[in-house]
Amino acid sequence: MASAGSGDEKAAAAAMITLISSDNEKFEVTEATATLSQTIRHMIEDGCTDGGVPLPNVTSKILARVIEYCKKHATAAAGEEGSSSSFSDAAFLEVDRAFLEELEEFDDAFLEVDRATLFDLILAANYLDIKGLLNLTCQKVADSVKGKTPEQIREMYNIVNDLTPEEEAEIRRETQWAFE
Amino acid sequence: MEAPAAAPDRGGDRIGALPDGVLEDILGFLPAQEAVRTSVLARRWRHLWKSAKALRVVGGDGKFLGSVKEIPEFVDYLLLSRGGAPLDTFDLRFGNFGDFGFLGFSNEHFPSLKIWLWYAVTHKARVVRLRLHNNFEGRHALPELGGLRLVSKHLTRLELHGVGVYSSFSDFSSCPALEHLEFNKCEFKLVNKISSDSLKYLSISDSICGFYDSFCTHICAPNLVSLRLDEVYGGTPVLETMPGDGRDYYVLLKGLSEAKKLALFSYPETYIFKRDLRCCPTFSKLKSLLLNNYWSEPDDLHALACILEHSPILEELTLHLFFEVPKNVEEMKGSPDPTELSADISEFLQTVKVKCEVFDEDVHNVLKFLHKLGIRFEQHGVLAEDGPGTT
Repeated sequence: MASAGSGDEKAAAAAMITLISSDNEKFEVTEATATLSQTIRHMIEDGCTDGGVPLPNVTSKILARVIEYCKKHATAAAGEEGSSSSFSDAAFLEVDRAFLEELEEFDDAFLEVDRATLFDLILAANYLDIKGLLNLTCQKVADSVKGKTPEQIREMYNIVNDLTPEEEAEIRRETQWAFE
Repeated sequence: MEAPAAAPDRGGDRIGALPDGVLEDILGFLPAQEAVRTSVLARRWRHLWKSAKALRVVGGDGKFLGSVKEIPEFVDYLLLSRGGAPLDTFDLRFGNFGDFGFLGFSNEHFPSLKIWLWYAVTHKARVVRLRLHNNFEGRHALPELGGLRLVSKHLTRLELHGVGVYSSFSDFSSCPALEHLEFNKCEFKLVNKISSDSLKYLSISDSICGFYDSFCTHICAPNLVSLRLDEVYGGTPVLETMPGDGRDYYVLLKGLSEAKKLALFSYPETYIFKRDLRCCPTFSKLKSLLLNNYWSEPDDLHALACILEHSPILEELTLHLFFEVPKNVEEMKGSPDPTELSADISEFLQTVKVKCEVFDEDVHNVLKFLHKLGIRFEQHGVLAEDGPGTT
């Protein structure tokens, strides 16, 4: 679990990493927080984080939110790895129910953003390879189109229908079995 | 991964600026039929659904697919049209189809269930869930996975609900990444052994195991860290410690004796643990232990005493003095008084948590028992109230 074979997890947890946003703002985060990003984890493993990690695709506004997410979830991950009441199957053991509820509330509140921010978060999560955040934000987009007709989805997301009527009819025939 | 081009901001509706990989993630969160229907949105979307990273088919309970008969056709079309793109998650859930006094699914409803599972596994799915409504009311043969032997480097989690499995199905030696395995409301027929070297979590609940009284399923999973056996009818599965360990008569506890963390929940009518306690093994690596009410019944704290005596390096003990988790849980924290700590229990003990619904006589007795062992509780003035001399 600890990176680069450092046996001393406490030392690893205390190590700080500097992340630099596209607009040159610097963020100091613990390694435990930063390594929720697989992209950054690999950089740390390759030993190329001295002098900070430039993230030219992420603005300071979005990076601040991403870090907020990672901090919260790094604590959760530490809980799972650590010694205290760390039975992973909370569903049956109910040990960490309160904590999981808190995390869920955090996630719900975290997602209360406008659509532009949501897409920026998705792009950042994708670029930084933060699986939890990517799933969370993609789920939110999926929920927003659930139960909508193709016309409604196009309107909602300004999707220009560039199919000819013939093509559209053909696709509908091909996928008839899914249109009931 | 290429950097996404900074798209012009069109009022925040920039779904088109997302890379295909992300759209495939999003499509994976939609019910399969809705993902398919996005193919008419625009040219770019025409084939995207075929690479959706998850397939979720949720039917029944009045939501999707009007009758059981429509299921096989829909899933067959879906898988055939989808083709060869790899999958991350395969999730099939069929609930109650309320027509004709529906008694649960039988084998006839799912002629190709095995093939669907095979499809998922050969398309590199990491997570596979098959949940078919079953309450064992129909007394018919459950949908069969039979003796299908899964081969996958990718599969990490398999959850099966309401299916029947035969002998060789539960040999998971060709699934070296499998860590999490759940059977709920399943039927095991002539399953000699559930075996996996990688498995960490195993849960078998509300299931029927074995045909005959004398037939016993062995669990051979040396890296298991969590085992849940709940309402398993027929022969209770036997946990093996090591391959070729020979016959021994401790059924479960011995098999758990290497655990570092252990949660033992059991119900009053289960005798198997108490029988095991007659030759309680030593939990030589156990640091964290969680027990439910089964282990601390008011009139007999023998079970608790015994397990504590056999846990020499225990650091953390949690007792749930209930069977079902109540709405309001009271928690009391205790810590050992080093000068008073009984020599019978671990000298490394640091924290003891006792959780209960209400502080009643039974809880009081447990605390009294722990007090005798040298564990002090601050809250409740626990033992002061009626002040039984305990030291």
